[in-house]
Amino acid sequence: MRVSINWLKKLVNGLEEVSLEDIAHKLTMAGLEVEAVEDPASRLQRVVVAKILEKHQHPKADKLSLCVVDAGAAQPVRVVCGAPNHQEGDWVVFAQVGASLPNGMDIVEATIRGEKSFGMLCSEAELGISKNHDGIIILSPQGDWSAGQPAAAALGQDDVILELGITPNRPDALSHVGIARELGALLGLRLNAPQGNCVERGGAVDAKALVQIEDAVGCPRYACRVIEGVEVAASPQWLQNRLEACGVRAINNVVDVTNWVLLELGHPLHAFDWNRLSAENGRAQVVVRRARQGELLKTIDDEERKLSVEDLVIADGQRPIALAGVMGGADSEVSQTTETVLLESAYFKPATVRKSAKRHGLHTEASHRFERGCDPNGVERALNRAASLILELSPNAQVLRGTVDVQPKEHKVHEVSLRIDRLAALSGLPSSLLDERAVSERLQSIGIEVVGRDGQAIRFRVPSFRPDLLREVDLIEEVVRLIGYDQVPSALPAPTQKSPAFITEQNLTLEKTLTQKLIGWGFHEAVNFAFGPEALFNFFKTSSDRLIEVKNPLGEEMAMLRPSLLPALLQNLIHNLRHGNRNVRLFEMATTFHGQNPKGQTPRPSDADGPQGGDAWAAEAPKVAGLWSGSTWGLGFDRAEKPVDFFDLKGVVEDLLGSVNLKRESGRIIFEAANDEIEFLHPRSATYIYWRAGDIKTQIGVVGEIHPYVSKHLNLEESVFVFELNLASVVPLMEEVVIAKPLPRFPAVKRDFAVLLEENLPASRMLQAIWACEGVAPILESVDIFDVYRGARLPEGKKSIAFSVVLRAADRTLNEEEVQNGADALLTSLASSLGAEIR
Amino acid sequence: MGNSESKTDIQELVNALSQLREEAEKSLPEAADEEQLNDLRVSFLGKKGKLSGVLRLMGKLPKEARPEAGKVANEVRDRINTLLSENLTRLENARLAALLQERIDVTLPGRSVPMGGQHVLNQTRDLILEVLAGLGFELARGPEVEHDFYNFEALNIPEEHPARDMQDTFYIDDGVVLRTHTSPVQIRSMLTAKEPPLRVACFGRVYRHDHDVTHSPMFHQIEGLFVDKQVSIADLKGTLEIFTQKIFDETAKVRLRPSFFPFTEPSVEVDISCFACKGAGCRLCSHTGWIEIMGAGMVDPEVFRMSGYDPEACTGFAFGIGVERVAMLRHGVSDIRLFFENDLRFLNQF
Repeated sequence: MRVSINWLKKLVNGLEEVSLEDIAHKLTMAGLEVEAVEDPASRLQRVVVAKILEKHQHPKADKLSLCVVDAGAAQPVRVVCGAPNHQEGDWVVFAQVGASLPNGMDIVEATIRGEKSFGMLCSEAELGISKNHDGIIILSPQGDWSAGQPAAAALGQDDVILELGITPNRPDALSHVGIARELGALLGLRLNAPQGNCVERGGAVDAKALVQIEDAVGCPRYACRVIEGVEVAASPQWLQNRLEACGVRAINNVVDVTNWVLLELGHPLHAFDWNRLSAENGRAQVVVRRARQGELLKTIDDEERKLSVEDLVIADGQRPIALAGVMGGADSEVSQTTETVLLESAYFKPATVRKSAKRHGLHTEASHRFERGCDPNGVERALNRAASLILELSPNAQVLRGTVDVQPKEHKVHEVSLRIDRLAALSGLPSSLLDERAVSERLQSIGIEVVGRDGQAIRFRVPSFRPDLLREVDLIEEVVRLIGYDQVPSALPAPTQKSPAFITEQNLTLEKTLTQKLIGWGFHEAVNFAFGPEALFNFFKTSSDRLIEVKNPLGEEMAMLRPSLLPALLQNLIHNLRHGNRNVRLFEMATTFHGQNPKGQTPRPSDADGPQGGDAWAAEAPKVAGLWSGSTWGLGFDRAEKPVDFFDLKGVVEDLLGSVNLKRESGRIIFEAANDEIEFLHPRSATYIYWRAGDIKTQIGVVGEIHPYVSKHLNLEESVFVFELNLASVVPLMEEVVIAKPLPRFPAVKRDFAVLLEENLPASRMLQAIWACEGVAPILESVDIFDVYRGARLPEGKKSIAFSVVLRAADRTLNEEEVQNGADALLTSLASSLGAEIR
Repeated sequence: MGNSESKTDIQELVNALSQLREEAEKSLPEAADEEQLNDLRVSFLGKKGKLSGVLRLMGKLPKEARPEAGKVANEVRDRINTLLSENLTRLENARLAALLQERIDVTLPGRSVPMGGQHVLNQTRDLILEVLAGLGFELARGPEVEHDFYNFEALNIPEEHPARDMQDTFYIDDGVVLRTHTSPVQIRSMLTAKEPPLRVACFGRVYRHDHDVTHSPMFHQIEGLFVDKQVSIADLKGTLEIFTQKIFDETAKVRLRPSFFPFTEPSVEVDISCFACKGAGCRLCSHTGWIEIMGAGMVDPEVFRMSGYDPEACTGFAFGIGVERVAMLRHGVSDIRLFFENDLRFLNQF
């Protein structure tokens, strides 16, 4: 909201004595934040009033004149001027050398066609006052000017505008009187608000207007007056200047008055051209009703609007003439030909106005105020204030006798009790500031009246312009606000008991460990939006998944919630490649979104599943995903670059899962080829990661290379290896605390073997067979594959796998016979279960 | 064969031994390395070496001549051993000396294993959460796709309230939104705890329908909620002082300004004295000396009621801070979009 300091000075006695800085600071610290200060005079430095003493023709240019002006200095000044409209003796506006004009021009000494010029005579456009470029400004000859006086005041540009950020709970502060009331209270000055009196003449208004309220919920009060003989014309300049400084366009003297009152008292008004309303027996019909479905209204912005039954309208006997509280109709607006005005002042229900304004995408000065709550008891005052101002501007007009004021419901004035001890306890303010009288006086300073006592509490009556003050705590806020938060001391709260905790240690440990490990592996953490494009996401959802759609996305590229963290990481990769960053390792830890609850299911607020919520609408899965593209290590002065491959990333995944302390006693991690079951992974290496406990496999993630189709979709030429793990599947597998194992006391024996196996037999089958071999199991400590060979030297369809086993007993040194027996058992078992041949 | 012949034999033996010594005295100092020296050692003293060859003749000497011959042989062996040892030392020294002449170009680049890094937003998040943990707050998270009830209604933001305009919302379904703040987690925490006291730090991703240099459609919030029997604005102020001093500047001052949030009453904006200019006024603080850092307030009685708490029996404060805002201020990042591009050149800096 834009507030004029000059206007405020008229409304608060003694405000002239207060500095601008003080005013701004007080308002900000009272919750009426000054977001900007506009001081047009500051842009008119070294621009002064001057008198043209002489005017001569420029010797070398027909269109230029050579003037000598008195600009208040000891010597008159010569200036060349290109305008045609000035004469000797005129009072003009002169920019001295050194001035920087609002249009960006810096005034310097100049020689124009051979003649020296020490300044410039200015047009309104050059001073940023208007777009008017037709000649220089000639001040009124009647003015009381003196040469050299600052031009800002002479031009009405000496007002300062404060841009205030008014919070939605303070409709009372959306007016100059409202701000003045606050300033009065904060500075101890008296408010000098205008009264709503107007002189009535002529016939009775009842003979000219009939108001019916059909929707008393949407419109609890509707009043109007009729003014005849209005001469519609442009408003005087000072009024136009003031409105425009406050951000409102000047239209004509009637509309301008309604806007003036809106800015002054905060109550929106509307003026109708009485002759354009349908009448019955000479009485204009005004009906406040719901629109009929599909009814049309052309609003004053010349938009044809299709109304719905939820819109509250003002109608005449035939058609809607205004969207109540939002905008008037074009057909009935006041124009040059208007003679009789029907002036509306009403109170509309905030929610009704808000719905209409939203539905029609309109946000007007009127709707802004009605939505937040106008003063239902301020209807008449605003109406009378406007009528009297119209009379001032159009003195031949007459305001008909009486007011039509349909007030189906008496507006309730709130009474609220305030306990001083509650105030002290909640605020922490020292009791020295909180004696009853001081507190009462604070509240009285903003219009709240003391009614009496209510036991220990004081009972207050809240004025109707403060719809936000309904409860004790609201009054407490007012008291603290007016005393000032700087008076509140600092303390530290003393907890009375332990607070419950909601996130398990395992969750936090898992996230921390994975993050640290991935950083150690050279992965940078990414943070991405949760939404993205459907076409890309479709590759990443499982067949049972349905993508969740954002109803009002910022664009198609952000229309769906992500079913996987990988698409965004791929987009990050593309961004990095495009900017020359090769060898990209990225990871992200975030939630993905899946499925949804049946429509219409309501939340169960008493649900006891913790803040994570068993009643969450979507299934939200915490995940970690990583991406590796480029090389495992880069080119060095003594080594070649090694492109990353599947086993690099699988190694990372194994390390991650190895470092989070899984319950090794009850199961183990296994990797299984997924072939073409995972749509976004290359069938060559697509891999499921499972936790296998006994016969039960739980999928905890996938690892592999991005599918060529996905790469093609993204125009990605590099090969990219990715993994994704579901954290919720990992947490239950984790040990709460790691219990240390003693170090082995007896030596181990290492034996190497090589076996011939079927070419397509997965290595994991061999490992399983080794671990399952009963003859060696008690002393088997580890198995490591160190070579896989395929080639011409082997029989057709065979491969050779070389591995070493480490054997150890916990309680003795193994003897040669035990080792040999173990090795024999192992090889026999491999031969019988897998047809392995010993090489 | 008489005495004289055996005399000759011993002389011959002695001559052979001294020849052997001379040979050793000549050849051992010429050994070029330890390997050659070792070869020489074997050739002189080995089982099949020259000394053994000479000594084998000793058996043919008469008994009485043997001690003398043995004495000479021992002298020669000792001498060779001494020479071996001296030359071994010589060669070792030479080898070490040569080794110490070796140099590599230490200015060639080291062979680095490039580390990754935590995202600056999550570094900032962790910093804030650690400070809050130190102040006794427990962590809490909640769903991001949230029911209107938790996101708005339970927070005293009814449908058709202008306060809804303060938070441009993404809609998922009727009555389902992408949460616009982490405040629904406060409600969920209170409902779960069932009664005070409660101290939680709610954190996570939140969403607003807005996208420009300073607004991101997704960003991160952290909210603190402190509910107990008697908590006051003074407690809020003291807590925020410690909090902001830990995060921004040990000397930071805190200023509370009245504001409005539907879920707190009274509500305040929290300013801190500018850590760049110490309050003198600079570009960072728009020459005001103060930087707006977060919103806070005392939990609105309506919110307590919605969560099943008796507003007469408990009070509480809450505050909410934007992780992006803190990171931008701390690290001088002026475009919020940089956080979400995940450009390695940006990520690498933190």
